[in-house]
Amino acid sequence: MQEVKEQTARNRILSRLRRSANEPIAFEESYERMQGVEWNDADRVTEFCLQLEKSHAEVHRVPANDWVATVKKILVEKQVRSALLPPGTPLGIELKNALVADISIVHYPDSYAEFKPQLFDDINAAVTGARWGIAETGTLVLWPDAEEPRTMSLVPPLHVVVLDAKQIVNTLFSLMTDEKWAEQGMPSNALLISGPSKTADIQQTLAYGAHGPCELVAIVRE
Amino acid sequence: MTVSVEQLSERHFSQRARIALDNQQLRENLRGATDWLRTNRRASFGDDESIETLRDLGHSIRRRVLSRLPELLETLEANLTRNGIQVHWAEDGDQANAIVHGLLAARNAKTVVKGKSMVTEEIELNQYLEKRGIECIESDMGEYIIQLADETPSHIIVPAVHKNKQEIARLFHEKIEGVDYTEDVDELIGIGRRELRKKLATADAGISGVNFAVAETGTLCLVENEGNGRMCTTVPDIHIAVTGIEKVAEKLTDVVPLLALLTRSATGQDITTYFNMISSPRKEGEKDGPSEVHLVLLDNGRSSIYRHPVMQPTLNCIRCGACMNHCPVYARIGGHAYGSTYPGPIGQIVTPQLRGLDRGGELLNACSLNGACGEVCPVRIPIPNIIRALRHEAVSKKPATDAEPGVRGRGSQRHTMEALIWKGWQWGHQWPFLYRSGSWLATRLRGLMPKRMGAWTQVRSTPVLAGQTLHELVAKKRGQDAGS
Repeated sequence: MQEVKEQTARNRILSRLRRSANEPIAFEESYERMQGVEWNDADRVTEFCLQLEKSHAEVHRVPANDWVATVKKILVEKQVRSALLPPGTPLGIELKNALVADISIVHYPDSYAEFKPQLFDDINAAVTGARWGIAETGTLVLWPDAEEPRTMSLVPPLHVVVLDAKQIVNTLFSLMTDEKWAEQGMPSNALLISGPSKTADIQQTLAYGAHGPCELVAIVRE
Repeated sequence: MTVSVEQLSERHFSQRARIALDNQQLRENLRGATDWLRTNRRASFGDDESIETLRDLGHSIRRRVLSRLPELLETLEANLTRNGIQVHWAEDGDQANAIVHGLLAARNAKTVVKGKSMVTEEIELNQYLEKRGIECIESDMGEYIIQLADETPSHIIVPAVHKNKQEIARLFHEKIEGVDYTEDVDELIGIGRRELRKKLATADAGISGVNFAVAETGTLCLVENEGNGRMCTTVPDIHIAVTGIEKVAEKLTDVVPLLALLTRSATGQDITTYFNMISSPRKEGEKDGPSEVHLVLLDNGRSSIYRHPVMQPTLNCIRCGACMNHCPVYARIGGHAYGSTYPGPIGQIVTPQLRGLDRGGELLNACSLNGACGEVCPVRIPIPNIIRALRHEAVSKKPATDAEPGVRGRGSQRHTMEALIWKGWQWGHQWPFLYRSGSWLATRLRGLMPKRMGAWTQVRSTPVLAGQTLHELVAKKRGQDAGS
């Protein structure tokens, strides 16, 4: 019954729209403007870090062989007791080995519903990777999956993201087109994250830690 | 007894505006907020050339999408369905509300958390669900504040813009158990976070709006800073998105300039904290995310706007709110005075079209045609022209036909006396004899001019006519110049 009703609504809406005398316009815009600045490798990383810091994130540029020690130092300094890690990625495995003596390591169980209370109340931090970084806006691009579910970058108050400097691109537009997002199909959830969660809903005063992480730390491996 | 703005119906625009103008606190709050938003916008766009190029691009994308809207809606539906997102169509608010309620009731959902969504305000979804025993909790901080105060949003981007922190501090102290009075904004946000996290963690369903629905990939995009939008679309087991049929983007790359325009125009940010792109429910093997995602596509008068060639650009809107921040009327009376979900200039053109000119036509008067809204609109909606065209429709005598249906409520603001006066004005200017004798008479009888002239002299001094007409004065001046 409901389906029939919705089908009728659908057909009526579409036929009303079709009765207008629109001339269809073909795709012809120039997207040159969206290509943005072409940075060289060093400047691109610098720009990325600068922009992300402007969004109130803490950014660390570290040599590739030193990142585990940096993450460990940050988690210990911020007094993290329990951290969510991806169980099976190289990042997760390396970190686990380094942290297990100091911090309680949690992996996402299969039953999300039962995990929710612990996720919201007990976990202090999550460490994830990022697929790409966008220099123009200082943005981290995450494609959550079974290893790094969506809520890892959302619910714990501290989110630490590890990104390889070579994954930093100029603009969102160049990323979408170079990586052929539309052609290859989108993941269930793609996220652009630029800084910790924030709000200015009370008298234009900026406050961090609205609903998502209060702190965002980015580790750029060079 | 004083009358509050909420007690006046949508038809009492001038009374509402009067009450708002008399509220000194409200005016200070609005002034502070609109100045801040305007400064931020200006700073984020850089030079004029880059603003204009980006606006051109935004405008041409929206125009292209609308020109092929029916086809793109079908592509969107097909791709969403292929991705596992269920699509529903609603002709009006009642149908949309019934669809959402049906989905919730079938899953025995009792509590719903909501991300900020103007379209669900438009159809009054919260009230509909509350009447049927489903609790709706607004999770955007601004929306949460006004829900506690039992008010409606007064701005489409910053819903609690009419309140200052003292008012919010009192509200939290009175309405949330165990909360002491504090004006510290970090503390207030902390309280909101704590209260809302309890709800977000346990809600049965999440409801959100949509900023862009990408036809090419079947993707729903949400723009936000707080993370509550992500919470509502990620944590509960079912996510229902509701959006107007106009919010389609053809290609994934279309969202790049539109996003850049939206965040800069709205709050002056180069990008918001989160840009959330949802293309499917939780897939096999994934550990979180809703197991069901639904999209309700709402018409509610939009297809009528679409059919009217002059009015169609109304649907270009990406809901950034820049027009309100730059409107001298909005900056003084605020959103509640408009008595509609969408206030300010965009509300002035959307509301009379959605409700009909008979119910929303009065709003068209709240405009000095200064043109600021049209100049800042990121997608170049000619708002002042549309206001003029709607004013014309509101007093038009032309009958509506199927080929040229016009705007609902056409002619409803026409008054015989006003029409007669304009007719006289027209004659007076068509016939020189009438014009000369009329103006001669007016200058000679200027002593008879009443001191009080209704609404005009409420806030202005009475105009005084000259003793001679301009023609006479010029003729005299010429005579003197020739003689000297």
